[in-house]
Amino acid sequence: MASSQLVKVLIVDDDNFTRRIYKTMLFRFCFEITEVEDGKNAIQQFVDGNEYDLVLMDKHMPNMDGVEATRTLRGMGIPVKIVAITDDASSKDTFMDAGADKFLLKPLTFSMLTDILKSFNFLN
Amino acid sequence: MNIQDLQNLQLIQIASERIRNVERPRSVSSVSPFINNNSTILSSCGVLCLNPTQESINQEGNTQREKAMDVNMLQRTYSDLLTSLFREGILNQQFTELQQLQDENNPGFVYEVVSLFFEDAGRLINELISNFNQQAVDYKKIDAYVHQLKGSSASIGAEKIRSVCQTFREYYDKNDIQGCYNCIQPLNQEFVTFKSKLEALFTLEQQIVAAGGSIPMMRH
Repeated sequence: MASSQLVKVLIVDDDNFTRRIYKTMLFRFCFEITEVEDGKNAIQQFVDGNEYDLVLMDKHMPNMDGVEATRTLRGMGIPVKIVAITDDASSKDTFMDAGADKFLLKPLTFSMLTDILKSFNFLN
Repeated sequence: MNIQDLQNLQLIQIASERIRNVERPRSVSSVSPFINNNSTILSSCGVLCLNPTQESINQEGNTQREKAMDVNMLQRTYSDLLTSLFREGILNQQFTELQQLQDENNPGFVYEVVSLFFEDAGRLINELISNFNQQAVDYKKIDAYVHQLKGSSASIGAEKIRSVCQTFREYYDKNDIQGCYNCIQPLNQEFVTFKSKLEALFTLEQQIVAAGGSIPMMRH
């Protein structure tokens, strides 16, 4: 868990619309939320010393896609929980091989998110 | 006119002012105190106090009944419109998910995200049309636009828009340029339809709230 008890989530998606929906869902749990638009900025968050408990990772993004970002984070030894959320069903194996913990198909629903959070014990 | 007449006139004016300014009794049981509190003035003027008061109660009751009927009618119209949007396949279950995310902490959430979608999708569709009209069409860029539009339409439950985007991408994967091109007009049409219907829905919501009602929640 990140240093404070508050669950910290990093949303990585190039669509501000999607980020808005995820934020609204996550606010229900009073989580601390950061959002970035691509994989490169996601990596930079960790390089800057920020800690997160959970990353919601899109696949298709400019600069660096979600698979590459996931692989890079694992290569850096970052143990954060990474949930791939994409409409590209064919990318599941690629994402899991890169080190993602879970793979979900868009659109994300509130119940899908709740199940994921429960599975990671973030709702205690 | 003598002094007594003048005094009576003054009393009548005072009584009229009081009747106008005092909070109107909202029920039969509150009439008696109202009359009692003003009886000296009213009886001094020889004014028949019961009927005007009763009339004002009736008027108030009628106004409230009319208001309730207006709210009911608006709510029914709203429910009918929303049901038709699902029945026609314009919206899917994801829209209901968004409605369920709206609460006292996010009172205008659905309106906000749908407005964002109108802006984003409108821009993307304009870019698509503009790109297709160029000499050298950049299909990779077009595919990226459609991909983005597919994602956002799926996120808000704009099913028909999402579906046309899906069809486009299938043509794109098969390098069927004509097929891609044939999707643009339907995409624009679906967007225009979606926008006008959702705007009508939001207008009804505003009217319901302004009339003191609550937005019906529907399960689909």
